[in-house]
Amino acid sequence: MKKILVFLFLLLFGQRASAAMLYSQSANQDVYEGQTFVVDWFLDTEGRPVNSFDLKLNFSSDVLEATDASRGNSLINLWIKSPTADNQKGLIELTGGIANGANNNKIPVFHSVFRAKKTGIAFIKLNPTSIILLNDGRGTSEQLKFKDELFNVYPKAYIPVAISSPTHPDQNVWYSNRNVEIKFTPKAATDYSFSFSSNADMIPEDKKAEIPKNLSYHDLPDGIYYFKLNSKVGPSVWKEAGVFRTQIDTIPPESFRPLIASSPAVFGGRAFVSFSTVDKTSGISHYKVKVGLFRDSIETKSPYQLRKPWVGDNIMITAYDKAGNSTTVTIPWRGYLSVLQFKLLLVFLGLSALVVNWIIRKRLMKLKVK
Amino acid sequence: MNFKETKFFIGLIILAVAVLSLPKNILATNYSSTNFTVTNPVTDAGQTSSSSSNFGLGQSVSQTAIGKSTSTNFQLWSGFQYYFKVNANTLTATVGNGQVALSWTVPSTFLGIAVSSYEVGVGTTSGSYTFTDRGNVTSYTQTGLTNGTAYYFKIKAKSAGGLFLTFSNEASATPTGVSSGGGGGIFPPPPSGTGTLIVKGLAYPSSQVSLLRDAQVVAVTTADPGAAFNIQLSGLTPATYIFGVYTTDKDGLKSPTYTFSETFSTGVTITVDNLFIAPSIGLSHSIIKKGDTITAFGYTAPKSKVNIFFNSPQQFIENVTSGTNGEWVKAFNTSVLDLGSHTSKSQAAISSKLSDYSHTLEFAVADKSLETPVGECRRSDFNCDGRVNLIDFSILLYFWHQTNPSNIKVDINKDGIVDLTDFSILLFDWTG
Repeated sequence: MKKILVFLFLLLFGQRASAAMLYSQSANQDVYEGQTFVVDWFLDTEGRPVNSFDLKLNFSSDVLEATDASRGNSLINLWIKSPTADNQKGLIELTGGIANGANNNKIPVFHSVFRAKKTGIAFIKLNPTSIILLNDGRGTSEQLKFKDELFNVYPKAYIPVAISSPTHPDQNVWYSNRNVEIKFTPKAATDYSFSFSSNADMIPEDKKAEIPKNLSYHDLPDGIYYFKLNSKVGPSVWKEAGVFRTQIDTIPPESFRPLIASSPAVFGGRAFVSFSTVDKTSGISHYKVKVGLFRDSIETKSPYQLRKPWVGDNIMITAYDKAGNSTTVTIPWRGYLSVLQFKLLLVFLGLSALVVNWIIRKRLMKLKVK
Repeated sequence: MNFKETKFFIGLIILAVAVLSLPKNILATNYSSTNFTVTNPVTDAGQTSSSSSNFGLGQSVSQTAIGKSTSTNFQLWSGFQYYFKVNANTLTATVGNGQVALSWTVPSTFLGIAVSSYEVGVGTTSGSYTFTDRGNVTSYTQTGLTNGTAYYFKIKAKSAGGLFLTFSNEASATPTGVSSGGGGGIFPPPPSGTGTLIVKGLAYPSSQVSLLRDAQVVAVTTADPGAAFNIQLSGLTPATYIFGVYTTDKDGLKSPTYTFSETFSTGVTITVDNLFIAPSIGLSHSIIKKGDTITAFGYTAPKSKVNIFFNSPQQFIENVTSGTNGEWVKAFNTSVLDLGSHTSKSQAAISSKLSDYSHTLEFAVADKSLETPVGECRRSDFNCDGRVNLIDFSILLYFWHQTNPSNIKVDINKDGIVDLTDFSILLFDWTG
């Protein structure tokens, strides 16, 4: 009785040790050799606002290859280091933050895609040097919890059913087509149930479903969709038969306003432009900057040091998402000559050439007459 | 009259008395009787009907003295005297390059009046505008503005006869061509989706309230004299966003930023209501001689109860009521504090609303006093433009992981290296 009372007291009044938790979500329970699968990463702040982190994740590089580590639909709005994967070291690194902090149990942090290289057991672990800081104005370190992820990679021959999509054939590519068709060939004497959802946790019901002739889904909003197929032979239990992923992104990155500034201590006091935006579906892929009329557009990062062009009125900055959608913003930045001045100069030079030509011709005519 | 008729008439009289004694809802505009007794006139023009049972008739026509009714030219119109009522509309300003897009709600009107046209007021000083009639529209883009200059806008609603009805709130915006980094509101262009966010609450009287979306300021409005504000952001594409709201008081002190995340799907409007932004806070001294008086001050909503916390091993709580302009000031004798470091913060309460805590300020109790420096740039504001934004983030990136950087401000916590702790402090101070 005394023990029960102590337990109840602790349950009611005991202080829970606060810590943020990094956790993952994957649609795949079973992974097969050669397949790719998505692992999305989220942060649960567990009641205490956090604002910045430096994360390192180790994975089994002998079994897995990270084919993508990117921002995805992350809510992290300022990045020191975008997610990058090193397949030699089996390491994913990222450093970023949220302006003014956030306190939520599901903050999308980043998106990763792995390819199973060979059969075996694969892990993803948090490197103990990872840091997460509270939004308290002092940069106080917060404890970071993590549950190791384990994946069993089975031989390719064990794939129960091959699923494909004629409209979205490559599971790793983002498409702008919002209508999805799914195909698979059912096996004889096998029951199937299936689901199609953008929720990676959604699983088909343990109930036989009729398979329609055309499995198609129309006018889908942007996002990643998972077609999940479960099967059952005779009186056995329902098992995962396959997962097929389709990725749709039609919306360009969010609009943004770059800022031009100069600071004596940065870039030797020369002007620089700062820019940042987010893409809510596939994530920002890269930026391109074009300064002046004649210079080429170049791929670069923020901050970008500016050199005054000979001719130009603007700087054009284009943000591209991973689906190739883009948002371009233009901000004034005059070169030594504006485009109008340059055109006037061309007209003036052209007219001068005409006048000179006319004078020369006239003099030549006079000489001929003489 | 026989007995039956007598019963009938008595019944009729009882019924009439019962009907007349019932409380009535009378429309001010529904007056047609030519033979009446005023029992329940309309008492509030804001309501279209009234059920008052306790009133006085304020106006009537009679002789002013015996035999002295001398007017030769007057008319007594049948009916109650009533007035129209118009509620103020809400104006939102979104900046562009050399222009500001304005949109406003239609004011609610009562008792037979309708808005027929609007004048857009534009000025470069708060409270002073030049008005131009723009017809019966609820949006207008003011072009030809100078980038980097703060403009103030107000909408005047008019009736069909040109009668002034109401003013909107004042909205301010600074068009950006961006030439020297920072300055006023730096807004991205309006997004192109269909979601709408409405944020309402209490700030400080006539203070500027900023709305951030994913670390960028996307709208700024001015709270009314009662501290109420209303910001609307439309065109949001279906996605999850992190928003932040903060306000700046008359002394330039900023409230903490209230952050929240919302997920929008197509066509959805989300209203975040009843926000009570935390008070601003300043301290007269950064170091105070033990026994001397330190003064805490700031702004909040008018007539709020402000609790001021002085934290040492023992917490001391003082309180004061803010003035009609939202200002609060509280002196505190430090003789009860030990020598060493202490902190102070505040929290406001009004009606049943309780604000978040203000920023926490540090001060030291020592054997001498040092007033808080005035006009110094905030920490994290590396380029001293009054904002902590992408430019400061860029400067931090430039010095990232440098030890003893040449720009010592970037090493905010003075530990000799520009690292995640400095980044975290910058994010805490972020104003967009």
